[in-house]
Order: sequence, then structure tokens, then C-alpha cells
Amino acid sequence: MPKREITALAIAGFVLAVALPVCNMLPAGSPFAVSNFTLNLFGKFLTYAILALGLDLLWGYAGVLSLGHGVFFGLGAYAMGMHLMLEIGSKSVYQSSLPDFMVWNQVKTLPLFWWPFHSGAFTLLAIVLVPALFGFAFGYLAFRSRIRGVYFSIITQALALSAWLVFNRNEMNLGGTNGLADFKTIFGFPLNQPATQRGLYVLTAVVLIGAYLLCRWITLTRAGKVLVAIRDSETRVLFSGYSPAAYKLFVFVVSAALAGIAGALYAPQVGIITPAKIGVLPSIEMVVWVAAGGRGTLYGAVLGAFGVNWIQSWLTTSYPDLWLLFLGGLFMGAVLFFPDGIVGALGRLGARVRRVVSRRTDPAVSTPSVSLGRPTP
Amino acid sequence: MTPPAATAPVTHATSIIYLEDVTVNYDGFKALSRLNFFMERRELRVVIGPNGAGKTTLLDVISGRVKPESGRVIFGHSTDLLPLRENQIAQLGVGRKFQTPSVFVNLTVWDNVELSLRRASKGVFAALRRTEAREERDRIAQTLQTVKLEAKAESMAGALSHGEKQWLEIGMVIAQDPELLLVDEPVAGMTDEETARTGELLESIAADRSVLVIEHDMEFVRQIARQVTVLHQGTVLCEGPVEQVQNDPRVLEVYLGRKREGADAVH
Repeated sequence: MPKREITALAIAGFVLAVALPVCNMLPAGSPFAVSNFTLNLFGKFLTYAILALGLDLLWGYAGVLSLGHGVFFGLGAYAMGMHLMLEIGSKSVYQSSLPDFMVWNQVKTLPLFWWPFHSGAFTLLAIVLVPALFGFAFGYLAFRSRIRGVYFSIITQALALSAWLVFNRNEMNLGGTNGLADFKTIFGFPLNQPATQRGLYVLTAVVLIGAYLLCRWITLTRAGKVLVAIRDSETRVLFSGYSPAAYKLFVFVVSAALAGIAGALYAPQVGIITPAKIGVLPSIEMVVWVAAGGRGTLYGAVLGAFGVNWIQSWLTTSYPDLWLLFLGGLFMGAVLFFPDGIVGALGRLGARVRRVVSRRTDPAVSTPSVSLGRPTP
Repeated sequence: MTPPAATAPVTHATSIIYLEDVTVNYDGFKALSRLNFFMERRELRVVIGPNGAGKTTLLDVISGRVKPESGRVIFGHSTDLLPLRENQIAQLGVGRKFQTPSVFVNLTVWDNVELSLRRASKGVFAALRRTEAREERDRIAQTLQTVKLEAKAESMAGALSHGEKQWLEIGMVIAQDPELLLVDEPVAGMTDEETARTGELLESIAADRSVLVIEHDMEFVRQIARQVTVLHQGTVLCEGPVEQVQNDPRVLEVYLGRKREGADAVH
């Protein structure tokens, strides 16, 4: 890892995981105070950034565009949500040991697949393993059959649509359209307490840093180079003795697991998970974060997830009609003008400034105009 | 290279690749029709033939890209290639160079060769472990020297010229340390100078490996070829030294559709 990246990561890590929560503990009148609302909002953005990292590893490095990562996010969020629903116990509105929506739907006994989620340990495992195994099964079938490029993207979109339809059904006993909500406690800690939310926020920031290091490590190994090679020429990879399907499956499973973890951190911080989070549209939004931030850099994905959602939360409160227009414009702009995202555009701008400065300081030297920055994927 | 086993089902104990009665059927079009083909170890063989004769399909069958409808494909002494996938065949020691240069443009020239190096395992978990040994670096440097790209080791492969990309890909295939090299029209689109250098390169490779080249450029064929196989309509028309093949009336006929006219048709 280059020194500059380590420094940047250390600073970002300090600000996100230490400085912000400390500022949140300051009294409300203090000039550096960060409100509970802002911290909670940032916590949500950080979960998106965790998902975006996995998506970048998959799309930016291996060139595999998934339009269905909302599903894996949802699996993690629902796994966590089910445990939180069971934690409520009989303190719910209907004072039944069953989740409220089951009482409403006249379900008499807890469905069998809900039982293991009483256990916190099982839930923590399920958060990672359910999306990972589902990703493995789906990826295995798709990559084994050599479905690639736009065809792969289309079937992942179909996956997002069908998952959305399935999760919407009341017969699934997952709360239907309303999803899972009204969580009270997480592992015994009350969710309405700022301290609990702050703890969740810090945990999310730490997981994000860990996820970043994991993804960066993968890209620095030979396996990471194979991923880039697959994007460049899958046939050459195959005839060099590697199985592209195995590498794509590996990175698909890693990204599915990261999405699941992101979802599990999202549910308790936002307080609700519904099928609206796992459909086609949210899955595409996730891709927009990575495209806008810049593919194939990892930090671009984090910046994109943060930036796009920050703008979204500002626009949807100040100019609610503009948000969708902006999202569409952003995607088209990213495709047409900034194919390498914010990161690439800033890199090019920086290079141009340096060129102008160096020309001014030493007019005798004519600087050749070379194309700068990393090649776009 | 494994020593030949005592119970050899194949008749030619010295063959590197052996195709028997191979038929490839593309929706009724027989790209290969009961083709019999075999190559000795350390042979440099050129396959020529008019368009649609099945030259590239022959390479596709050997390298596992196309599975024939019937027939046998035996590599080395007795390895049946038919049930294997492309990457497994590559790991056995069959390298393939494509007609249009196919290199990893977003990786450096060095990394391109590094990825291609022969290794015991090319699985995901082996690739996650860090193993850049000195011996490995030496092999990469040596390969780059062979294809004369050592000065560009740190350049992105995408920045190379067409000819350099072709050499890089040849270097990548050499790095795989294959026993059999399949090369599809290596000099298409090259300048005369580049063509001459490519010919020398292939001849030096053939000193200790078997090389199968598909080529259209007859001048180039004369430069490198010892044995030539002519394919026509998915089957072998004739085989022999380059001078003999050039003057074979059947070859003239398939190339020009007439007999005994224009003796320099394939010159």
C-alpha cells in the first residue's frame, strides 16, 4: 500500500471513528457539536460505503456489473431485523411473543425459519453466511455457464426484481410491504439511546475500515491482478491457465458478504428494513455511487457512496422533486463526462494544475501533453 | 515432461499432439471432417489452407475451446484432452497465442508476464498468498529479454504498439513454459522488420518445444517452415516439406481453383 494511502486512511479513520463520535458527545451548544441526527445519517452512509467497496471490487476490478446487490444488502438487513424483532418479545403493541405483523396476519406460531434467529450468535453468522451462500449459489450457476457482460447484469437485475416480489408477499412471513420495524433493543441495549446509536456508528466505521483493508489486500495480491486481467481479456486469462469463473465467483461472494454486513448495520441504525431497499431501483443506485465516485480505486467507491447520499439527503429535504432528475443526470454525466468518476476527474484537474504551474515556473521547458491518471476500466 | 508409460494406447510414442478422426460440426457445417493430424515433439509445423479450411478450428479443438462431435485428441503420451477445460489444458502445457493481440492492457508488461508464469496452482487461494520469489523474478526478466521488451517492463501493456503487443503475448505464452505452442497468424499486420524478428523468435522457441503455427503469409512460411500441412474443407489435403507442398497440383487447385496454372500461386 503506498504511503499516501496509508496516511489518508489513518486520517479518514480517525475523523470517522474517533473525532465525530467524540464531537457527538459534546453538549449541544458547543461549536464542534455533532447532532445525533447527523451522526446517525453518517452511520447510514458508512453502511452504504461498505457495500460500495464490495461492488467496486466486483465491477471496478473484475469488470462484473451486478445490478442486484440490493438483494444481498437486504438479506443481511433482514437477518439482523429478524433477531431484533424477536428481541422485542412481548413488549410489542399486541403484547404477543410474536412480531406484531404476524399477529396482524393471524399467524399463530412462529415460523420454523425464524427460530434460530433467537440466538444472537447465529444471527451474526447468518448476516455473513446467508448472503455469501446465496451469492455462491447464484454466482456458481451464472459463471459456470459463462454468462458474462450485459447478460450477467440483466439476470442480476431479474434477481433483484424477483427478490423484491418475494419479500413483498405476506406469506413469506417477513412483514410484507411494511418489512421489519419498531425495533426496541439490540443485544439488550436500547436503540433509542444516543449511546447505543453512537456505539453502532463506531462499529460501522471500524467495519468500513476493515472492509477497506480487506479489499485493498485482495487487489494487491496476484489474485487482484487476475481480477483486472479478467476485465481486460477473460479469454487470455482462461488460456493462461486460470479459471475466470472461480475468480469471479470468489469476488462475487466477497462482495455479497460485505453487502450483507452493510445491511445488518443499516437495519438497527435506520430502524426499518422493507422490500423497497432490495429492489431494482436501490440496486441501480448502488451502482451509481460507485460510478460517480470512480471505479477501480476503492476510495472512489467510498467517496461516491458518501457524496451521492449526502446530496440525496439534502436534495430530498430541500428540493424533493429534483432528486430523481439529479440521480439520472449524475449517472449520465458519469458515463459521458467522468467515466472515471469524481476521483478520476479530480486527478485530471490536479495534473492540469501541476502542468500549468510547472510551465509558468519554467517557460523554457515545454511539457508534452500526455494522458494522465490511470487508464479507465 | 512425464516419461512415457509402458502401456501406451497411442501408436506414436514420440508425438506431442495426436488427433484421430476428429469431426467438428457447426450446425451442419463441418469445420473439421474426420481429421487426422499428428506432430512430433520439438517440431515446428505450419498449417496453411484457404479460408474456412478449419485452421483455427484445429487450434480451438486442441486448446479446448471447441469440443468435437467425434474423434480423439491425445496430448503427449496418453493424456485425453477432450474432457478438460481450456485452463486445465493450458496448465498441462499447451500455450495459445491468438491472432489479434490479447494482453492485459491495464496491467504492466511485467505483471502480464508474471500472471502467465507456469505455477503448480493457479487457483484463487494460491493467488492470494504472496510468493514473489527471486527465481520467479528471474524468469520474468528472462522472458522479457527473449521478446525484447525489458525496457518496457513497467509500461502499461495498453501503451505498447501492435507489434510489441504481439511479442508480449508470445512472451506470456513462453512464460507458461508450454510443451506445445499454438500460434495463430502471428505476423498479420506486422511490418517486414517485425515479421522477420517474429520468425526468429518462433524458431528460437521451437528449439526446445513443439510449435504449431497457422499462417497465410507464404513468404513467412518459407522463412520458418520445415514441415507444412495443408488443410482443405476440414481435412488434411497434403503434408510435407515446404517446396514439395508448394508445387503440389492439389494445393494449387484449392488455392486457385484451377490446375497446373500459375506455378507461383502459393509463393
